[in-house]
Amino acid sequence: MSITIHELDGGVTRVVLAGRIDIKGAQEIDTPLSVIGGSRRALVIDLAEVEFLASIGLRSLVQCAKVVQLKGGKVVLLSPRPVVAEVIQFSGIDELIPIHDDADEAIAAVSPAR
Amino acid sequence: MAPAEGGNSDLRIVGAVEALDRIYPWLDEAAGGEIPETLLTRMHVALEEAVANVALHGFAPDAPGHITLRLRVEDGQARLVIEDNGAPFDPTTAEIRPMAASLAEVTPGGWGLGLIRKFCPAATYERRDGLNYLTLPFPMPV
Repeated sequence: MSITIHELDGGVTRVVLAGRIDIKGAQEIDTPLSVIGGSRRALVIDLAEVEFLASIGLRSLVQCAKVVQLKGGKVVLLSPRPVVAEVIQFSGIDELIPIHDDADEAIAAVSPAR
Repeated sequence: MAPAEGGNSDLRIVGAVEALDRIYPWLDEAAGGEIPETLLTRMHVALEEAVANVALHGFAPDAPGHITLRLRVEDGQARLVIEDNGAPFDPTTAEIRPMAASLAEVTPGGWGLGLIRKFCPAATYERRDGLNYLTLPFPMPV
């Protein structure tokens, strides 16, 4: 499991996750995601390189999104693979954290109003 | 690990979270290239949720039991059976918390049971001789 942080223009942060978010993977991203969620207000979580997502990983994503929203910020998910998207949709999480397949749209969706 | 009936192998693990690492490579190997990748990934999700549930909630913290996994591919089905000696628990009928209407209201967690049922609607459960048997049948694409 790897996690990479890219600071973009306009105060947007793109977090790229890669690997398997199972119990072990979720343990690896939990703390970094908490730190990111606690310090950012516009977050794009890029899931394109996530091969597998279990419910324990959903918990990490939702916890992070909750913290950001509590501060008035926004989080979206970007480009999950089909089976990863199914896990998100079957759980109803896509109703709480929007999914985008286009990076520019995702960035626009979280960008603070000017 | 001796080959079992049907040419697939069984896996017996200790019912603890640390043992979960073994189920992913086991299913890939037991599938032996017979199961298409998309179906196999769905099976991985359901299996992970089912086994994690037992490992996390089925046993007393200081007394992990055992979980045995079986895969049979026959009659147009890939069928996973998860057997454990933990507390009786039926994942096919246990109550699922309704989804919250907003991020502010949601309590993270509790989505595993829903995923098992969505990915494997034909899941069945049986308690027999002090053991839980969860059967997850997946129709093979024709």
